[in-house]
Amino acid sequence: MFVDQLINGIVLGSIYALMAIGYTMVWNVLRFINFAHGEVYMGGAFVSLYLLLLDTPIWLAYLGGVCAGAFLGYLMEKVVYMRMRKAPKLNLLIAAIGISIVLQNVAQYIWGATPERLNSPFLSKNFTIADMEINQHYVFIIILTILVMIVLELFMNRTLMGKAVQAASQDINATQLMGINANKIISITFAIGSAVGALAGILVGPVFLVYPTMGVFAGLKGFTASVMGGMGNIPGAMIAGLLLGIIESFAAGFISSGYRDAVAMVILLFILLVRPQGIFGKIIQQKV
Amino acid sequence: MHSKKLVVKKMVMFLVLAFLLVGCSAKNSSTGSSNSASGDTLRVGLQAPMTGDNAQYGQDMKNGVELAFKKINSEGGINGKKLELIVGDDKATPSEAVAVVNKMINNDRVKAIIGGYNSSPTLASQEVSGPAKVLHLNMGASPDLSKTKNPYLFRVILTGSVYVPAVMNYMAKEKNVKKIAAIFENTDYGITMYDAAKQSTKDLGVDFITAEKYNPGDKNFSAQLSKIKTLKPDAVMVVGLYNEVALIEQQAKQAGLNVQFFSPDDSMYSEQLIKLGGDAVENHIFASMIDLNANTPQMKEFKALAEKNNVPAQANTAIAFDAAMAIAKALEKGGGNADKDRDALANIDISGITGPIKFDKNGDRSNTPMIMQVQNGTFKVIKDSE
Repeated sequence: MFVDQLINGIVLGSIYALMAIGYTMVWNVLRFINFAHGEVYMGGAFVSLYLLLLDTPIWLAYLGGVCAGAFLGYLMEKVVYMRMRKAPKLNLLIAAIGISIVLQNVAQYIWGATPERLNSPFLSKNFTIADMEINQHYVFIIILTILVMIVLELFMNRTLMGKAVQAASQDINATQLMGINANKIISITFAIGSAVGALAGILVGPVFLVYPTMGVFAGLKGFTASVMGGMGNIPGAMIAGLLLGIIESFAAGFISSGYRDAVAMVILLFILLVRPQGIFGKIIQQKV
Repeated sequence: MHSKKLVVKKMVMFLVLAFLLVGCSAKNSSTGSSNSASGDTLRVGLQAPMTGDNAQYGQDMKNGVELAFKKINSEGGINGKKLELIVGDDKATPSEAVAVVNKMINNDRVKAIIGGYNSSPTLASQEVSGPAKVLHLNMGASPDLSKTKNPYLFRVILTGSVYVPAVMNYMAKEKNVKKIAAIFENTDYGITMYDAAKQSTKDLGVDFITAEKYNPGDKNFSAQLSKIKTLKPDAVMVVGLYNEVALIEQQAKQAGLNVQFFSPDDSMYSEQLIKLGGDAVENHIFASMIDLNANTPQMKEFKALAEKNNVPAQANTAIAFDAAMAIAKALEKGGGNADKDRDALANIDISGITGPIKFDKNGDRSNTPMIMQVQNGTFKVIKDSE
């Protein structure tokens, strides 16, 4: 029972962690919450689903979904957010909520409201380890999440581009003065964050189904995890995502399944009371 | 000079906007007056979830009502008047349901409302339609819908307190289950269905060993299923809609929980269950008020009509079709007078796709359900209705 719930929690947490990365990365460069991030998750899953219906090999369909997600994020930035650079951040926030609602309805118009199941080669197979059954797709989710985290860590710390993104997150105006093309950095940030978000959607597609409003809930949880981890802190977002998943799973398993979300939110409130900057966040002194 | 120009510009803008506003409101009031004068159409509202997680159920209902209206209108309408459908999206939430029903009654002046699909929104919106004396024929399952004392509220599906004993009886007597684990939606529907099932256990010698809940829209049930697995039940009762039932059974197989699953009502009766659930939903047992493979003239007519109009013949479509036919009949007999319409619906006796349509004093159907099972990817009747 304990190990079962732990595995359930890690799988759920992996998805939250992948979602949280997108919120945190965008926050880093633009200092606003992209509430349309959940729709990237949905878009990626739908594109994969339809590539699979066209008899595309499964790896190509997954890759296509990720690329489509990245492109959708890039497009959002180029078409809407870029024109609002000088506008108050609240305008951006409202624009994001607007994009989110529009994309949900566009998705329902194109693909219909009926949930569909994304295929996975692993879904119907279980590993049996010492009397315990572990689904292979769950293992696939965990492995892919770890891989993404390693690649992202390497990209941010070992490549020039990653360092430029880090610089932009410290002060976007100063980076521009140093001769870095800030618009390019913002585009790249959106594309990477969205690709990771789309991957999350594709990974849950076989387990939780694909439908137009699938991004709402995942988006909320990813956002929660990114706040928990300290807004702007990528490793923090990953760990907080995992933590949130595990807490939820234990809350449902050992306390009450009806109050799973409530329990998770109470814990979040507690964390924010004790550490307002998030678990891994640093307090940044504001210059007056 | 410059500022003067700006003032003129602003004045012009203001005038244009004012004209637009007046134009709009004038248009509204003109349609409003034509409504109250009731020209050559009769308006009927559909309160159902058209967007959001439950959108496909609303779509099925809309298809059914549209089919019925098309049939009625092509045969000359009701007392010479054509039926017109006003669709209100309640998004499966009580607050939206109240808002759309208010709008349908006050702006569109509907004579009757079909829907909603979910129990909680229906319980909320009937508070509006009741005092306004508008017929409200709903598709909610909760037994609480019988207790509203709203004389204008009727229900086209069977009440949960009829469904539940039927399936519990079957599980206890034919399948010999003793320990049942329940997993249900944390809404009026799920909770009242579970309570009804729990009440029936005393006489049957069965026991609920756990009651796990989930929130509407949840897709991850692994925590609840892992817990159920450790309790080793003989069977699991799922109260939910087809997406959830398909997911729950799929995830149960993934967790290695291989026992008999059943549901107290036919909310999951849809091809979609088999499409999404695949092998995992095989052998699922449920109580149903309708058999889409039934060999009755009504069913044949409905299927032919659905095929002609390119609409999938789902259970909810057929039930909504029956609802629309019953409302049409009542409006025809009552002649548009609220009290006479109500009496006509209360005393209706027609044979629909779902069998004879008659209402008891609570506005509920008096039919009994049959028991069905998923066998080789199709729905088979394993016990006829009594």
